[in-house]
Amino acid sequence: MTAVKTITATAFGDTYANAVGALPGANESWIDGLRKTSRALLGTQGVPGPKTEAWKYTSLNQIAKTPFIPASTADDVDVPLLPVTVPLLDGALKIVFVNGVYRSDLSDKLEDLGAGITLSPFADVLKSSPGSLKDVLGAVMEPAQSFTAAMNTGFMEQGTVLHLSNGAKLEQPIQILSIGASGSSPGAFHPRFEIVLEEGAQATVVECHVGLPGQAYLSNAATEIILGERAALRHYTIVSEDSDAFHLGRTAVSVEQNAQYESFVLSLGGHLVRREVQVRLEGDGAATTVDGAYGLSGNQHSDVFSEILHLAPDTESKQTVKGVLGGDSRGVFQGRIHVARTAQRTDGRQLHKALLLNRGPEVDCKPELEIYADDVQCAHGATTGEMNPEHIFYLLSRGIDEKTARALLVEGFLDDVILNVADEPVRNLILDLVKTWLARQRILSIGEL
Amino acid sequence: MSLIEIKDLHVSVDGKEILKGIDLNMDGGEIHAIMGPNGTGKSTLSYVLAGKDGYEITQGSVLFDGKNLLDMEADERARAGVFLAFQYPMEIPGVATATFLKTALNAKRREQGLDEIDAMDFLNLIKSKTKELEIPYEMIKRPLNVGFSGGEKKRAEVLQMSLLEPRFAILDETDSGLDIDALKVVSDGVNALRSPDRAFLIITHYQRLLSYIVPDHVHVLVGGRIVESGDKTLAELLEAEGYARFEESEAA
Ligand SMILES: Nc1ncnc2c1ncn2[C@@H]1O[C@H](COP(=O)(O)OP(=O)(O)O)[C@@H](O)[C@H]1O
Ligand SMILES: [Mg+2]
Repeated sequence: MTAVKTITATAFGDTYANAVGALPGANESWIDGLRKTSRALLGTQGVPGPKTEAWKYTSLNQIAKTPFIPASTADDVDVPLLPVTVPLLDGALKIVFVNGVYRSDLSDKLEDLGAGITLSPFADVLKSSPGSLKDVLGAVMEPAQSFTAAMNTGFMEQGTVLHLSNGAKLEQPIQILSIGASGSSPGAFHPRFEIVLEEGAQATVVECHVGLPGQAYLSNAATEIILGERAALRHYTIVSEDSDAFHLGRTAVSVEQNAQYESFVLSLGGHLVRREVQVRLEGDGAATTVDGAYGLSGNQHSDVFSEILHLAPDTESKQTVKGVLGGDSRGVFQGRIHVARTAQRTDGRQLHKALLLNRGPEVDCKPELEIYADDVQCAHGATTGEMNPEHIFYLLSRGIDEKTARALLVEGFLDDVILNVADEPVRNLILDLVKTWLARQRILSIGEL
Repeated sequence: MSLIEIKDLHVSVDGKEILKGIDLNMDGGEIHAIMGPNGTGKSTLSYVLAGKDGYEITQGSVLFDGKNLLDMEADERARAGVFLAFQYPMEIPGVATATFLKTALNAKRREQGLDEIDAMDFLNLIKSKTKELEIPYEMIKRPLNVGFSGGEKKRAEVLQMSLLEPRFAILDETDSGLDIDALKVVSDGVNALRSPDRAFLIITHYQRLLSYIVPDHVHVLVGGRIVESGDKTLAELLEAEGYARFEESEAA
């Protein structure tokens, strides 16, 4: 127990909090209160360990032991230009953050997005019109529910607020780029993205988390999404952090009547990546797709933690997550589908499939169904296995050498779920990223590909 | 020297002998048919020739163009010109048919010292082949064999064969699951590939296919042995009489 306290104190306790200093919106008592409550949770609950069900398979020890400084205070980090390694979506409106700090010089102009549409830096909104966030901030991203959310809410500083009024349609996709880079000290940052689509509004948002090589950094991002009736959001998250980086990210979504939340999370980089998603299907006929793919090598650790809450009748959720694991990597999938008593005629499907490239990796998979309604269709499944030798033979029998055959099959394994991405340019971007990742694994000759 | 020389081939699976001494010589330009009841080792023979793992060759040899075929890996055999049209083609999710075809074709071209095929040339080639085989062109954009009907899978196998232009093609029950129109299209595809330096081994249950693809030799495989060989009239006889008399002699 003492160990846990020390850990909390050094990582996100007083030292860190003092260094963070006054944050935007601190003079608004409700915002200040939200941050303080969240930090208090970190203090009282400490860093969750294996006894906490949600953190059973993912250890926060390494993060807790690292003496992070607030990344925005590092004076020895200079990122003058957008790194060439950053995946860019053609035609998207870019909004760029380096170590959690908004970079207008690297971003596109956040104007003229169309009638009823605003995209603003989060800090600006906290300072100039905090009231506009009163019903939004913390409405679905509940600090008490998640360590990741509590840490982000306790230290949130910069980010974006995207707001679409009734019926507004965003033609151009928005690409949020969060770039991590540490100087001599490991830095932590806590970007906050708020997305509100009022009735019938439509938008596409791509969130990219990338980083530069160097000291480890901690990217602790939170995206809070509120979708009004018949609104439709396509939300794609690409995590391609630096190989030494930590990423603890959470998306929390509320989906009203007949609204649709389509999402995909691609996770390739990072030393330890935990992606949490909570989708609350609040209104009749609300629907969601929460797919994902990940690729791991070396000693990478990836954790997908998902909660889909069916809280109204005739709601639908589909989730397929596929992972490829090599080296001595570790993959975790914890998925819960909850169906409330009133959520009759729910259709909920969940599938996790892991492909092991050798004997090194380990997969922990815990799917959970919690059903209180009686008229529902729910199914979940999980498979973990090696490559099918019959598939390999089929390709060999066409003259394709074994290395190429295995690479094709690995790519196909992931592509299979990526093909669900409805937005074609994003789908192609993700397919390309996977191709590049695979090529790099082969060049590094990880051995098993 | 024949193109293919199979000598006294004995093959076991999990310690159980499946093929019990196969002898078969095939020359370029020839079509041989192998007929026989279920479970007698026809697919086993096709897999052993194509180089699948899991089969123990306890005796015998196979020469392909004078080289020891059994020493080569499956992909080497394919690049050297061996092709197996599978009885049950694999469904491979996520791998686009076009990507697969192009990779296979380029593997062969590299072996021949040719450059990779130009993207436009490839598409044109596929367009004409799919048309010949009455395969919807859209099919090549779909994942390999996934959701294809039984007939579509078999046509796709023949499409691959026609693209890779093997010297020794084995067709394992390519006729099963085909209606009469599809059978005709597939047979036309095979007949179009007939040439003096190419040999076909056609495995089938039914004489039906052999009235479209007319064999030079017909062999009856029962209990892991070729129990009788003859010309195309043997197929007709089998169609009329069945395999009963061979099975009896096998049991005896
Ligand atoms: N991989 C295998 N493992 C065990 N037995 C097998 C395997 N493959 C084939 N066999 C057995 O070998 C025999 C011949 O099978 P097969 O070659 O598929 O026959 P056919 O194609 O003539 O119907 C059958 O008894 C079958 O059960
Ligand atoms: Mg068979």
